[in-house]
Amino acid sequence: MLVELQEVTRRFGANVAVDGLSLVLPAGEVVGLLGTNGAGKSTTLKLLAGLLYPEAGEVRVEGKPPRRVRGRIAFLPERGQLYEWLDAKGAVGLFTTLYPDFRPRRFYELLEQLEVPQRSLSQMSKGQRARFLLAATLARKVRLYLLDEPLGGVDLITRDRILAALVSEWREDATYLLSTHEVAEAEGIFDRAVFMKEGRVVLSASAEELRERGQSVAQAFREVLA
Amino acid sequence: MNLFTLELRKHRLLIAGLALLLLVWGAWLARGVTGGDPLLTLGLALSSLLAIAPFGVLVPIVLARALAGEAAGPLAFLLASPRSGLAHVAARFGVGFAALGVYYAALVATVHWVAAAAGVRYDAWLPLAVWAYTIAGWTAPLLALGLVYGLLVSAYRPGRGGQIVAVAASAGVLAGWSWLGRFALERLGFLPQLPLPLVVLPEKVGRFLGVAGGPLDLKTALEPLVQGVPTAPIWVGLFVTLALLAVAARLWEEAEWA
Repeated sequence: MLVELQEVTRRFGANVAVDGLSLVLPAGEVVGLLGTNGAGKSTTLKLLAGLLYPEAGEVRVEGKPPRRVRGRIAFLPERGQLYEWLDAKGAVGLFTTLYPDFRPRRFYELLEQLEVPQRSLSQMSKGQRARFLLAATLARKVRLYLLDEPLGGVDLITRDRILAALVSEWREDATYLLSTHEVAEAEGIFDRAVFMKEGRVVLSASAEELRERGQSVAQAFREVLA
Repeated sequence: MNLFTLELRKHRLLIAGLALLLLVWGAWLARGVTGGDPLLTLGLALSSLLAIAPFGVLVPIVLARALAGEAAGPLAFLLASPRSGLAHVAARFGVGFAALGVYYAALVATVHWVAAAAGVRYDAWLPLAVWAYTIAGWTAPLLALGLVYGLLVSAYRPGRGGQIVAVAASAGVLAGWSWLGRFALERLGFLPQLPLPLVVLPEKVGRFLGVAGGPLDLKTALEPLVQGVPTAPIWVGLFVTLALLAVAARLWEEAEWA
């Protein structure tokens, strides 16, 4: 298994963000991490990225603690920012310095596919920045992509572009775990949907299993999380 | 663009501010040297140096604040990278060190120029030694401490209680600095010493101080009191810097980033 979380708990003061969460994900799936606000999605992604430690339980990526395999995990933070004056060329310089697996050619292809203009970040709109950062994240060649709300705060057309980019990027040896509220728009691309509520996984079902239940992801979302 | 270039560009306003400060100060002194009394200008240069030199403290403060402000921004991308924390810390430290290295070199060079115009003679290595002392004994450890402080604040986000502890710790840092200075001078006397530099002040200064008989030779005057200049503070400063950078790199890699 590529990703394993066993009985993971993480609190912030009195607030229990993740509460005894267990989840196992194989390679080669696009997984939707779904839940209402405060369900623990971002914390789960940060635990997998190695930015947070679990208070209890174990987090494993490729059988190891995430910090030991940081080079094989790409993380797109929810409110990602970069140096404001960076343009595509500058970002290539930065990301090739930070990440040996960064693919400049793929980055440029993704920028084109996502219709990101050739200008600095400071001159871009919110949606354009989001696409720029997504392109930079997807241009890495890793086993695990953690995308925190990549569809948040963007218009419908942009959402379609992002989803198309994700589909075009899919590889058999990699897992894409993305948190989102935009269930209806994104459900066509999920191989699996993981529903979180109050820091726990309440349902993890493949698209096939949901179909057998006669439910769309959106319907399951309403039923499980209501 | 590498990390060093990015950090340099990020802090360009601070660097430009320091450069402007130097330009204004240099121009003021140049006017004194060319249109006034060079010896009097040297006195002004030395006294104003006490006011202008501490501006270098702004660099570690700004670098530390930048770290705290970035935790939810660019830092997320930097932190998630597999490159060692030392690479990131080194880039930030390198920028601060380069900026302050040039700043203090310009200060020393300006005073050197005014002193030469005023007729003060001294060994050619003296300006370089003063600069090295400033950089190794003061600037480098302060910068490294600023990075550790910034990383601690960004990683652990102390509340009001933690901030009170931090302020108290700042006083502790001053005490620690003083203790280290005494330790270097009293216990590390076996480390190499620099010879007493030759410094000869013009006759006018001697007359002003009531010493007759030509230029005032400070080396001859000081030789009965001290035999050399200890280099121990430089070594202690470098050791403390390396230790603090190691702590900063460890914090970078091991701390949590919510």
